Amino acid sequence: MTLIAQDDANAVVIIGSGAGGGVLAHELTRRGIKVVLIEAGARQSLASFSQNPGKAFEQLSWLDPRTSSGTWTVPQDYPGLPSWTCKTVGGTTVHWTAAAPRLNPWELRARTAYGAVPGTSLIDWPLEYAELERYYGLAEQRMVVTRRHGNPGLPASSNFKVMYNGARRIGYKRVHTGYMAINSRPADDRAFCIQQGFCIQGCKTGAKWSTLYTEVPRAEATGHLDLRIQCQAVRIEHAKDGRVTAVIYRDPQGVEQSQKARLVCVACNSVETARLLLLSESARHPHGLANSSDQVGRNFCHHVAGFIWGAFEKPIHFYRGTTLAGIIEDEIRNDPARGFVGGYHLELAALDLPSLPLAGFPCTTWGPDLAFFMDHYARLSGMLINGEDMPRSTNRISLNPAVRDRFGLPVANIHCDEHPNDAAMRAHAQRQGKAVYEAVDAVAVTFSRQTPATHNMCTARMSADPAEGVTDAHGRTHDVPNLFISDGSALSTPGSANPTLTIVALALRQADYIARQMRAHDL
Amino acid sequence: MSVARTIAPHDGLPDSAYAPVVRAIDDAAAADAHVHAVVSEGLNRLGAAFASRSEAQRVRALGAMESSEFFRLARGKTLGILYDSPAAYAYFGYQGEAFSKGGYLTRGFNDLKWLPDVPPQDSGPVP
Repeated sequence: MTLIAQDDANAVVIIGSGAGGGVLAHELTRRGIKVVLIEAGARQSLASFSQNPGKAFEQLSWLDPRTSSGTWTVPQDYPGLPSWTCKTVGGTTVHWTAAAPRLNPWELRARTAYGAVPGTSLIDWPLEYAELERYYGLAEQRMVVTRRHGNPGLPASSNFKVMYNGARRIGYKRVHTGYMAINSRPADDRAFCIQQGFCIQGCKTGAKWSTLYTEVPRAEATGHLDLRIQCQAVRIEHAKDGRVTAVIYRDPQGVEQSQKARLVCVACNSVETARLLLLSESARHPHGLANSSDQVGRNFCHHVAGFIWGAFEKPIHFYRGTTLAGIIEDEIRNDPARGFVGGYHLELAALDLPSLPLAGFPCTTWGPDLAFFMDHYARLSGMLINGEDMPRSTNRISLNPAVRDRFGLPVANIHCDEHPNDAAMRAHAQRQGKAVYEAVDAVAVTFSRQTPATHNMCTARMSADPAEGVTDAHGRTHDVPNLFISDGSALSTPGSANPTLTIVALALRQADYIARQMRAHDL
Repeated sequence: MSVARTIAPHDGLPDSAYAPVVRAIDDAAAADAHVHAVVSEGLNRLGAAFASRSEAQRVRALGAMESSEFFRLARGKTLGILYDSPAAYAYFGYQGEAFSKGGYLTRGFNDLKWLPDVPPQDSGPVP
């Protein structure tokens, strides 16, 4: 284990070890750059992952308190859990379902493609698609994404057979087992998928890519990584010249510690990234660090997300098999004739028995309706809507001083009012999903409402104009030259793709940039 | 018991499957005065005759309390506990974790026969 002195002002400090932070840590350390990686959670392993869904949830999830407000239905349906992310080494790549689709070119030009949609804060990305595309290729090779670079697809499960046949019968053309960062054959020193169905609980074979057992140990092997687990960053400090100088964190005993830094990369997942910047207020940054634009925490996006469940007469056993290995791509297009801008994915989904009633239905589902679908548990098929939601400056992460964490710091409040475009997209997706299942003789179809945000995005977004966002096209903050955002917070707009692949691609690009600028003595 | 059976009515499940729900609500009420007050008030509002009413009447009575703290507590405990037992797994046909048995790869992950198979280009090879 490498130790870097706490007063070593030459260290790069990365906060968070998930898709963004874990990849960045590996990329910098393999170039010989010293990195202190601060992770709030504990370290699990393939052997320690619980196989009890409830225990796995407690083992991996970020369960520190958060509050929520606004007209979205999440506070009613999922009290206390407005966002579902992880607090563990590997971050949310430990529980992710490994769907790794790309954004489309027009999704990077959302403001231009969709026009001035009232009540939104849409912008175009300050990045050309061709540039992102190059890094998508590198990210896919690194994560061994199926259906890319010669990697075979995952085999179709029974759950996917239902979705596939229904989709084809109503005319969908682009339906397959998905672009999954899950090994369909042994690769990357990791096993192949044995169709356990426990993707969300932590993949016990390691077939699913997670920084926990790829990027982080490989960074450790370079001898340049100092990983500090169960250490929670609480403030970033800066000097008179405006450059950040140190990260203040609480160690596993809760004692305040300080780590000096040459530069700081924040990758805490959008909710905590915004919270940490807001907590780092000072005389120079009275509204939070890197927040002269007042954009930190704003434009919070979470995707139009929700389940579609079809009940059938004959058995399916949808819990057997890779949870999300299936996609309908036909609705990923911008066609305002459908009544909304932007597109959506329909992705395969299943839930284990204990989780289905808690996560799969709105709070208004109980009694005979609930019993009907639960009685059909072995005859259910499932899909997940994943669509582009509209950024709104009033949908935001802010500090809630009325509720404090165990360190006495205000927790994050997540405020969301659903935009009419999101509602129209959801209604369309639900109609289409119902049609898919009815085409293969479903006896009944039901829906969840918006599910807790697992895709948290855009709260410190990249922007060409410093007034419209927090960072430049490399994730370097407009206000502070040695402060970077390295997670989904930096996405300019959410697009319709599950964000992890894009986060990894941007982290790879940022690592190239940071290494280059360090050599040029710019950092 | 009848509240839990109204929220999640599965006639084929014995009372013993619902008993842990009742026990959990009792334990929560014993441990916290506020929860105790919420539960007492909720049960009072439903009245002693609740258990002997028809299912439709019970659904109506609970529906009138859908936004109450009592209902949220009862629904949360019922859904969180009822479906998380070996008896429930067996009753609903859920086989649980499969890692210890080699996954579902050789245990029926693609055994559905009532629809055509997915063509190879949209699927992938079984390893």
